[in-house]
Amino acid sequence: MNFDDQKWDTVIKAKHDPFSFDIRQIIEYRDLIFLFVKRDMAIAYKQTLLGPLWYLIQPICTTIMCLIVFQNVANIGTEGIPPVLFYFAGTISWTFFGNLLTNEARVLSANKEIFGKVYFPRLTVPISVFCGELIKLIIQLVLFAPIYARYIINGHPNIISIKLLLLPVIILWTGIMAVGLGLIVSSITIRYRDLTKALSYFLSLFMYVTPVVYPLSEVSENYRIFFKLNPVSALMECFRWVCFHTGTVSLRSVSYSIGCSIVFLTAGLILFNRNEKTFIDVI
Amino acid sequence: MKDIAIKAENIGKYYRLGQIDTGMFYTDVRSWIVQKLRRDDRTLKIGESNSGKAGFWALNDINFEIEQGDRVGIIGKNGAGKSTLLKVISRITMPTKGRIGIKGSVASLLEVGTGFHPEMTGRENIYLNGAILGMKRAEINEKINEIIAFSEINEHIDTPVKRYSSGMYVRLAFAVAANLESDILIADEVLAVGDAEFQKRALGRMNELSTSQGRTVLFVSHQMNAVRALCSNGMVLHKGRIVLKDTIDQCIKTYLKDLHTHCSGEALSHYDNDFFDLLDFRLIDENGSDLAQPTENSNKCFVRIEVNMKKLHHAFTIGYSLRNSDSLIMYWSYLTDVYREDHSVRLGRNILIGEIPGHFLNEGEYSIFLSATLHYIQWIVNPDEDSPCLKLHIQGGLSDSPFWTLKRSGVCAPILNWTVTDK
Repeated sequence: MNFDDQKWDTVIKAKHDPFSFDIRQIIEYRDLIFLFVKRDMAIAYKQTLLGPLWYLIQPICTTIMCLIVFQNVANIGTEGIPPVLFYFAGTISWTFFGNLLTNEARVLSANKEIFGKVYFPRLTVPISVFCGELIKLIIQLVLFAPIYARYIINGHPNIISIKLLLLPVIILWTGIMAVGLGLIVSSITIRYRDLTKALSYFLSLFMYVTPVVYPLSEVSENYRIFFKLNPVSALMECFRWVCFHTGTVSLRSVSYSIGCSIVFLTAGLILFNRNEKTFIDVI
Repeated sequence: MKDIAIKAENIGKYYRLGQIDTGMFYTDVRSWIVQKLRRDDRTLKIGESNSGKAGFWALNDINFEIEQGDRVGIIGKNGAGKSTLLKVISRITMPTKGRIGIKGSVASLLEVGTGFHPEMTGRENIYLNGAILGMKRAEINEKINEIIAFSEINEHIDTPVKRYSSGMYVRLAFAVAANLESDILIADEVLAVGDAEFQKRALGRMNELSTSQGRTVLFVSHQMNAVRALCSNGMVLHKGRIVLKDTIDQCIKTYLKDLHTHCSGEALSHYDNDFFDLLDFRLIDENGSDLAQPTENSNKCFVRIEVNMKKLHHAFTIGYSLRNSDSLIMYWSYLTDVYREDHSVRLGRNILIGEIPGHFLNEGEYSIFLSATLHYIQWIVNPDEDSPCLKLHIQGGLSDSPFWTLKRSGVCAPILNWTVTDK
C-alpha cells in the first residue's frame, strides 16, 4: 500500500509549515500545563524561610525603595498620583513584564533535558510560564487592591474610573509583548548562550528608559520621541491610565505598541516552532 | 494482512559539523557570507563539498514497515544510529529528509523518570512524569495505586524524591512508565538501570506489556538477552543504514558475527606504537578458524593476537582483559603469566594464542580488550581506555548433567569435582 493511501495519526516529515500549531493537541495536554504551573509555583519557595510571602515582600520593598530614591532624593513627579500607588503599580506591572520575558527566554535551554527525551507539544511550556506569571501578578494585584481602595476613600476619589475594566486587556497585551520578545530571545540563546547572561543586565537598563518609576510626562519634550519609540512605554502608561486616570496615552502610541507586540509574538512563535524540532541537535 | 503501525520512507538525518554552528556569532556570520558570495571555495580539497558544511548522515535511506503487534529489536554498534532513529520516530528531533507515518498513540521511553523534580514528592512526580509521557490526570488517578504498588515505595510516596535512594528513584520512574497505555511503545536501554533483580522485573513487565496487549514495540538495547526475550523481529543498523531486517535470532547472529569476532585491517593501525604493529586480533576455535558465535560453554576458544614486533623490551608483555556485560573485569591474562624461557616474543611477526577453557565462563556476553604494557613501567595499549575489543557470546553447553541445563547465577560456571564417601 502506498504511503499516501493510508490514514496516519501522525506524520513526521522533514519540512513543516511554520504556522502549524496543533491547538487540539495543546488542549489535550492541558493537564500537563496545569502541572508545570503547579511545579514552578511549588518549587520556587520550597525550603525557604518565608515561602510564598516573597510574592508580596518583593513589590512592597521595591515600592519603599522607589519612594526613598525617586520621590525623596530625585524628586520626580508622579502626575498627582499618590507616590505609593504610583510606584506600586509600576513595580508590579514591570515585574510581570520582566519576569515573563526572562522566563520565556529560558524556556528552551532550561528544559533541554526533558525536550531531549520525550515528545509533548512544546508550546505547553511557554504557555505554562505565562500562566505562572499571571498567577503571581494576580496575587500582587490582590495585595494592591486594599491599598488602592484606601487612597480612593481617603481623598483621591478621582483616580478611579470606568477604564479600570480595561485592566485585563492591558495585562493580556503586556503578556503578548513579553512572551513574543522572550521567545525570540530564547531562539537566539540556544546558539549564543552569553545572551542569557546579557538579558538580565539589558532588562535592568531597559527599565530606566521605560516610564516605570517616572511618568512619560516628566520626560523633556526633546527626548520624548525616543521614549515613544520604545513600545513598552505605552504599556506602562496605559497601565496607569486605566488604574489612575492619568498618563500620556494617544491612539498612535497605543496602536504602535499593539502592532509591535503582535509582530513580536508572531515572530517568536514562528522561531519557536522552527527551533523546537531541531534545537536538541544544536544545544 | 495485518495493519501497518509505522512506515518509514527514505528517512535521513544529517548532522552538520564544522563551519557553521560554531557557536560564535561572528564566525557564523563570516562563513554565511563566504557561502553566499563565493560559489566555490578554493581552499577546499577535491571531493569536499563547496558549502563548507562538513557533516555526516547519522541515518540514511531508512525504509521499513512495522506491522501492528510486531516487537522489533534494533541492534547495532555504538554510533550506528539506533538512538537517532528512535529520536526521530518519537519526534524529539526532525529528520532531514523522508517521512514517517504512525498509526495509534506512541509512548516513548528513551529514559525513565524524565522531568522528575527532586523537590517534589513521589506522588507529585508520578503525576508530572505521567503527564509528560502523555497520560491524562483521570488516567493517572485511576492507576496511581497500581503505580505505587509496583514501585514498592508505599510509605515514602509523600516524601520528596531527593531523599530517595537511587534504587527507589529508578523503581518509581519505571513504575510510571510501566503503566503507560499506548498502541506503540518505544524504549531505549531503559533496562540498563537498577540492580540485576530490578532489571529482571523490568524486563518481565516489558514482556507482559508487549505480549498481552498486542501492542507494537520498538526496542533498542545492547543486552542481547533482553532483546531476544522481548522481540520477535529485528533490524541491524550499521553506519546509519539498515543492513538486515529479519527474525531477531538471525539479526543477533549477524550482528555478533559480523562485528566482533575479529578485528583486522586498517582499523588496527590506530593502535600501532613504538613496540609493535597490531596486525590481527580475533577469536578462533580449536581448528583455528573463526569462532562461530554464540559458542557453547563446553567449547574451548582462543584469543589470537598477531603482531609485528619492532622493538624488544625485557618488561614487555601482551594479553587481554575480559569484562562481562556489567563491565566487571573478570580477569586479566598475559603471555608472561606462565614462566617459560621461550615465551618472549621475537622481532618480526609473532602469533600469540591464549586459551579460554571450556566450562569456565557462564552464559552471557563478554568483551575482550587487548592489553599491552611494559610491566610496571608504562601502558602501551591500556585495556581500560582505548583498546580494540572482541565480543564473546556464550550460550548453552553448560553441563551434560540433567540437573544442570539452564543458566545459573554466578559469573563463572565451572564443573567442579565432587566425591561422596561415608567417612
